[in-house]
Amino acid sequence: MQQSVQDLEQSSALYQRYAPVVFAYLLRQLGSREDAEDVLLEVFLVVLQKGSALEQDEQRVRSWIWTIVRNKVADHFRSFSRHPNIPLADVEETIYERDEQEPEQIVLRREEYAQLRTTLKELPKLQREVLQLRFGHGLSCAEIAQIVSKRESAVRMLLHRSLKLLRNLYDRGSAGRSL
Amino acid sequence: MAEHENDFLRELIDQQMELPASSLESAESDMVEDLQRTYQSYTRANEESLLRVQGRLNAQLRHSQQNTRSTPIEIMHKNYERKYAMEDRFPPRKTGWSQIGRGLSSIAAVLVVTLLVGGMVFLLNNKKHTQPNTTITGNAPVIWSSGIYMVTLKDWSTNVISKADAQTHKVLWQYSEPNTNYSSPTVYGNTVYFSITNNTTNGKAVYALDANSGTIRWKANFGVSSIGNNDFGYLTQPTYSDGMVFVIARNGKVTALNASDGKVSWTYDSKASALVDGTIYDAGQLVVSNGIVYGALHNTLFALYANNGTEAWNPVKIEQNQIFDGIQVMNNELYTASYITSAHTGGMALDSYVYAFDAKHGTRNWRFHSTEWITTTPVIGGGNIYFVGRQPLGQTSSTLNMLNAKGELVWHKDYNNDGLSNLVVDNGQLYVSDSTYDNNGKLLSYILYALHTDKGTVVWNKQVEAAPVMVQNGVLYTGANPRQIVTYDAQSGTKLWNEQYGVDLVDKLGNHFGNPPNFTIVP
Repeated sequence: MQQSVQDLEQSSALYQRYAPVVFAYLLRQLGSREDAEDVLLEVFLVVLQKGSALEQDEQRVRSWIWTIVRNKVADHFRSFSRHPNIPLADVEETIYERDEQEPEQIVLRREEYAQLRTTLKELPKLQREVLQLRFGHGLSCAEIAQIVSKRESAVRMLLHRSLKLLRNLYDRGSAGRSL
Repeated sequence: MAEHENDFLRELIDQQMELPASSLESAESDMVEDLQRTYQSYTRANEESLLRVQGRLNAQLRHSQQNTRSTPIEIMHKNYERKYAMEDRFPPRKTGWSQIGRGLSSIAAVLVVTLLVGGMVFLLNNKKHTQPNTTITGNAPVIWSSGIYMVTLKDWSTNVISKADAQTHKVLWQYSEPNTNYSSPTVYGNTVYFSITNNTTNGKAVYALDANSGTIRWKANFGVSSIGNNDFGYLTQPTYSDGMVFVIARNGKVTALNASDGKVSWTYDSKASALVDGTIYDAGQLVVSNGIVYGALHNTLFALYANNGTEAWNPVKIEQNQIFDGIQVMNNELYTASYITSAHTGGMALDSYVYAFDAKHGTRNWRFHSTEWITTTPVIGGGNIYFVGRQPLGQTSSTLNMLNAKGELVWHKDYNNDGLSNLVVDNGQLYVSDSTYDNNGKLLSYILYALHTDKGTVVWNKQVEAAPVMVQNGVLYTGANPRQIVTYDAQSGTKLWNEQYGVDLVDKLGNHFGNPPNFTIVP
């Protein structure tokens, strides 16, 4: 697997570009972080081995990577003969890193934050999943669409609807704090 | 249910999620930030997974390449880590992981965030230096320009450095450049030294001003911050000693400047970085004592000869997950503390330590373990060490502690509060403020204490929103809200005078920004 520096740079650029979305897909498909990491490694080892193929246009490269991903997932299932139930990550409270710097401002928002977490748990699964892919993986609507097998416009609408719903928690000072 | 038809736009939703602060109204932006916060630990786990895979990939590459220099994957790995630093420390500004992957003007964007965030650190960190920022040596008579030297806000992105008359407390001169952040001022003789970061150009520099007129004597440019150089901008407050000025940058490089003209005398690379496990932990101000420059960054403690920058002793390294606080040197002993890196979750261990080192040789005399976070520099008085431990998670509390010269706990006082201020020790008294807030952020109490150092018993206390900064000539100087310097007779607690400085800035929610000036006094 001897490669030129240029090949490596191209490979690393591809990793930057595609690893987050591929990992999100693998996590959803495999349900195990360890398995997702292993398969992600396998995918990008293939990418590195095929360094000379990276000169292709972006659309073809993307298609090629996703083909590798799906093949690797299929290989994985063939090897382990299981298809796990994929749990969504718990919505959990995390501390405010800036607590020590501006406690008075942070406290003002705690109530809204608590309501947000409560409401998130009550959302339909697909909406929660889209929010998780957006905020937990940082994916765009187009990338989310690829993972949840929906059209981008459908994901956009779903995300928009979820945000509008949650938005009503943030009407400071109004009577309608709850949904 | 209220409608907000124009808040989130379906067509622009990706952009709005990436840049909520600039593309959404405050309530929507707050909500997006809270969503990011909600998924913070999950996001972090994903980031760590991606980094782990990168590491494994890199190992494969190394194995196959037989090449010892950094591979592009390694370089990229570092870039990711830097990005996380901004995100972890300031979750409200967090953007998606894939934003990096998509190469969204990554370096420029990170730089902008760095500087924004650094500015926030400066503005929000109400840290009060309790250690001297100059070392006065040499034979030539020094003419001091007495006054109150301070940094205040001019607008949300611009600092002003100014001098007020020591007697009338009225401002004598001001210096400012648009979109700049300044360090605390260091005054020696009739010169004011400070570090500056320009938020527009990303440039950083050390400035020297004439203390009488506020005009520039010289400025030493340190160039533009560059992520590629592991450089995240920002220099510490300058330290003056024997005709030299010393600063350390976040990339671990120490620079010694000639105090008369700003020319670089020497540089030293500590090989430490402020970026640790995805978070930036800034170094404290360098300290000079007996011709040796002492500094600490991350888990590295170093000592350099001030005249040439060579190492006085081999740098000391502590555990990788410990972060050194600032340093105090007294009677050839170096005191400091360290605390564990943030795990960003509840239930994290808060292991911290207070240390005493032999300042001449770098050997450790003792180490005191604490299960509370010690994130501020201990102070020294009468041969004893005073420090604050914090329990920042859940039911917040703090502990004020005194160790003797052997590192043994002599007394401690517990506070069920939201934080203790920095400490000031002078003439057998310890000054500290204790604050508590209710669940709505409303201030419940703010008490300024003077305590006997030997037992921690109260000498006097006042219910004022003021934190101690320094004691000079029997006068306790405090930074007080809103935007004030308030002084008290240090022994009796009698109020002497107060003066308000800076501009009354109001945020989008109508909150007044009342932080006191960052000041130093030359009597």
